Amino acid sequence: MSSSQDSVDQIHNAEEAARKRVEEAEKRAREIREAADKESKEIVASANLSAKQSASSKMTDLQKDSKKSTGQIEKDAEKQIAKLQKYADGKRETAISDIVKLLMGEEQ
Amino acid sequence: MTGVATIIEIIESRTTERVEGIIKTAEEQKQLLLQQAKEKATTIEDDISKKTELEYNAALSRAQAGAKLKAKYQVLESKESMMKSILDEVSEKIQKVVKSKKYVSILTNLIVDAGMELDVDKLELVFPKGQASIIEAAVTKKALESKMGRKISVTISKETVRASGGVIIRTADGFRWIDNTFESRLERFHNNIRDRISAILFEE
Repeated sequence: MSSSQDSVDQIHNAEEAARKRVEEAEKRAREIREAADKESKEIVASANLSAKQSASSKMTDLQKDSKKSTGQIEKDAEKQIAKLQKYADGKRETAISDIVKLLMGEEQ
Repeated sequence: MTGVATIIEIIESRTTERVEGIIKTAEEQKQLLLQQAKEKATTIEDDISKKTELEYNAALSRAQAGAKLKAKYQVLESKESMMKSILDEVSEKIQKVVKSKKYVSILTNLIVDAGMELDVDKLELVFPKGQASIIEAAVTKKALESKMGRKISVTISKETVRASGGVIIRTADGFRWIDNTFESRLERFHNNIRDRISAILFEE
């Protein structure tokens, strides 16, 4: 009877130990999932932050790039106007003479 | 090995198998979560990057278009300013012409051209105030008859026209006329004048 009871106890203890191992494993599994969940959220948040910082930097560059580009357009316009003015100055008397002749009926 | 020992070994063996399964599943779920997170991160980065690129390009294009439009207006304003300067000087020249010796021949030409256009036998001339005496009707009549090849009657109206120079030539009945005052010609030939100035000054 005593030997039989020992056997039952041994089996019971083994089952209890097994149950604890399973509980610990399940606890460890939860921790793994929670850590993974946290890490994945951090990955997404970090990517979001990094992308927004890059975007902000790019839009900051915009002001500089825009100023450079529009500045060149303004310079080109100034050059064009100067060239026009120089050419027009040389043709001024011709134009005046031509228009006066037209108004005087000397040329139609 | 006793029966109990066998049972215990089986319990432990199955437990080990179950524990390993639990951990393995958790590790697999972890890998899946991280993989999904990395994919989501890449998508977020791509989306924000593309959106930023579009905004950047659109804003830069707007700025460039605005600058080009402004530059175009500046060029046009400069041309307009040069043209106005020419027209101002033309006005000054016209004032001087009225006081010059060749003004009589200019008036005669304006009268003859208009007379041929009206093509009638009786013409009346209307001058700016104080200029009717500059030209003799007889001289004008002779020039007209020479050009038109018939007798023409020319009278000088007592009316005056508000103008710096030139003359209005009208039929005696007053129904048809050609306004050859300088101001009227300036207005009438406005587009032609601007085109000529553009062609000469800007080779357009």
